[in-house]
Amino acid sequence: MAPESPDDEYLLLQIQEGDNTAFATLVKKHSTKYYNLAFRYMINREAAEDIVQTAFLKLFENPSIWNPKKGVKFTTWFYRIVVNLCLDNKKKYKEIQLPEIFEISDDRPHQEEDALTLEAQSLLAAEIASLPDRQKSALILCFYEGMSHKEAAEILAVSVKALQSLLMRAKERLKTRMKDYLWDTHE
Amino acid sequence: MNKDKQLERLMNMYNVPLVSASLADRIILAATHVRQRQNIWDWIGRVFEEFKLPLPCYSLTSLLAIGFLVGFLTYDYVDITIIGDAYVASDESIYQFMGEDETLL
Repeated sequence: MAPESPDDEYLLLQIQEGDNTAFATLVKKHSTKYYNLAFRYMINREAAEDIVQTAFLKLFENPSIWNPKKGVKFTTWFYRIVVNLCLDNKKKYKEIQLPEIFEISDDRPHQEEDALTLEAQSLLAAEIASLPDRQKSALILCFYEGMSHKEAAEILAVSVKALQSLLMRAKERLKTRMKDYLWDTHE
Repeated sequence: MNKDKQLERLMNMYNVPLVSASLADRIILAATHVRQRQNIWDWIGRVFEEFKLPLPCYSLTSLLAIGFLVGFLTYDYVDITIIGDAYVASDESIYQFMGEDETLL
């Protein structure tokens, strides 16, 4: 009998048995999360959605590519698939456009500086997307996906030390590129 | 606030536009047009899962298979011809077959 809230590994086994409902459940459960990840790489909604769709269809077409015996969690393994697809498709979507929609997560009423912040955010998105692949991946996985250094290092197939160094370099680079929007204040 | 904190704040404010509400449905619909590929070894494994044999059966089956193999490999030693309804082995091939054992003795 199927468990009430099946875990990913159970769903994957069901998909391997040819259960389409299990595939639908898995897609509904994870598509948004992987879209968010893909968007950080592509900064284009359509491109990000295409990447997620391609990744899931690859899995559906050949579900046995995920091997539970290797002891890797589905989500970790699928992160790697999506990251690789994003990097592979970078050329296809090379003309990175500045994102049209940005939401300011502050609750403050609109102020004059909001326009500047919005501009800074657009620039930041483009700068993150233009970082070298490994630095970008390290930053996205650790900062935006909230992964531990160990998890991110596993996905990128590097040591934890190497990952920390990548993170540091990414932040330094962003600080340099964003210097017009950052200034030292003494509060 | 120093530059590190400012950068972090800016990074925190960078939100991703909402995903299309139909993305999951689109993927599920697209999957209906995709033919699933199955690994041949998985398929064989699944077929044989249905026919699980107890261990002694494996031993007997293996012995039988070895028996057949040895039988077929030694078949050429005896030259059998069909005369009428009878299968007759030539004297020469019988002596040759027996002789191999005698030379050992």
